[in-house]
Amino acid sequence: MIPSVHVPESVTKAECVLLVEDSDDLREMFVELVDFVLNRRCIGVGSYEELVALGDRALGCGVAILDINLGPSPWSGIDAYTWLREQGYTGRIVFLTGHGDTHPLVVAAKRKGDAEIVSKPIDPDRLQAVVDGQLR
Amino acid sequence: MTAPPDLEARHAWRGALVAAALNAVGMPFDYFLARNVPNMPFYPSALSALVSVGLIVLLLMQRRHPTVRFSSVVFLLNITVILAALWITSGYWASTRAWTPFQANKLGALAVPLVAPELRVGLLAIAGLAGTAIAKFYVLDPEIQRRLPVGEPWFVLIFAMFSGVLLVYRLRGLAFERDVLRLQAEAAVAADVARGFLRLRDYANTPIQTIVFATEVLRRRHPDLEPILLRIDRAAARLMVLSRALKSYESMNSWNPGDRSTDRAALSDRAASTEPTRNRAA
Repeated sequence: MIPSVHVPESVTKAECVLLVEDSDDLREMFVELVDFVLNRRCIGVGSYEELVALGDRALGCGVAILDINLGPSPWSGIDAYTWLREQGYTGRIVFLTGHGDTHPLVVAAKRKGDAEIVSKPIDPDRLQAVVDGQLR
Repeated sequence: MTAPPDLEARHAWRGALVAAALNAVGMPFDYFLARNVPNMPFYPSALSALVSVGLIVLLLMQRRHPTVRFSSVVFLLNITVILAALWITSGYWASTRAWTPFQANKLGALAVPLVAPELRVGLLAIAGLAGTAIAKFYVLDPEIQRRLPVGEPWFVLIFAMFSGVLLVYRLRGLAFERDVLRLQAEAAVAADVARGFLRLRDYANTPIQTIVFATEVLRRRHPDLEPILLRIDRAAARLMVLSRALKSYESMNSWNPGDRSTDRAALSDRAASTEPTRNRAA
């Protein structure tokens, strides 16, 4: 069953941040941090299925942050990336991962030439840079 | 993968077993060939074969827990009964004019390098085969001695010398193979440990990230908690240092095809067994 995702009308604009992260705790903290500290709107979903269910509302976000490993489901952040691009998503995509550089999923993510890869854990300043597109 | 010390014992066990089997088959065959030799007794070949069958049974009983020492003792017992049998039968063979001297001793000396459990035992067996042949020559009737081909019984020493070289060559080859296997086993263990550490790091990164973000949210919402939050910051920083330290194991690890799903399953299993409810791995 795909859980419903509450998305306020105000978030369907280009400034919002899309997060696909399977850890509930991290996702909630991330959304709260982006909302409350960075003053940006953030849509958090926990799985590929939830992302697909989000549909066009996901495509309105300026940046999509995707956890590469979405837990035991058959889908990964790579699949989320592919879905977004296939839907015509033109925003930035950042992979967030707890894996090392040599992990097969990370290697696959690196092949997506237009995506950035950021390793967990990051501090709030770096999160700001990720959201603002100022990664160095 | 078989552990190298165990492999050495298995090599020794197999060699002793083959040696006993050669005795069990060879001695009756030797008697069969000697059936027309006048007065050739049956018992040396029969006893030798019988003892070898007993040794085979002993070896089979020890097959799950073989040791080099046990296999060496069995090998020496086997070679002793062979030498005793050959000592007796060669006297009868020598009485025939068609006898080629000490063929069995020479054949035995050539077989020892292929089956000897260890160097000292192998050299002892070769020395026994050569020594008994020479000694037997000098207890034969002088008339028989004169009849034997020129150079006998000293040809057996040439066989013994070649056998010694072959024995050293084979045992060194086996030792080298065991070293290679040991190194491969150690490398496999190291890679497994490295992968375990990497999984541990990967698994810890999401909770650490959660702590870092939760601390920041709390800091903004409750500035009065700053002294406590600073401590959490320091603890999280230490965990991040640990995470970065484990990164060094990446160079020791190579992911194989299919590791993606295996990794996920492993992470999922660990998450299920260690987390109370909601969090899953990175």
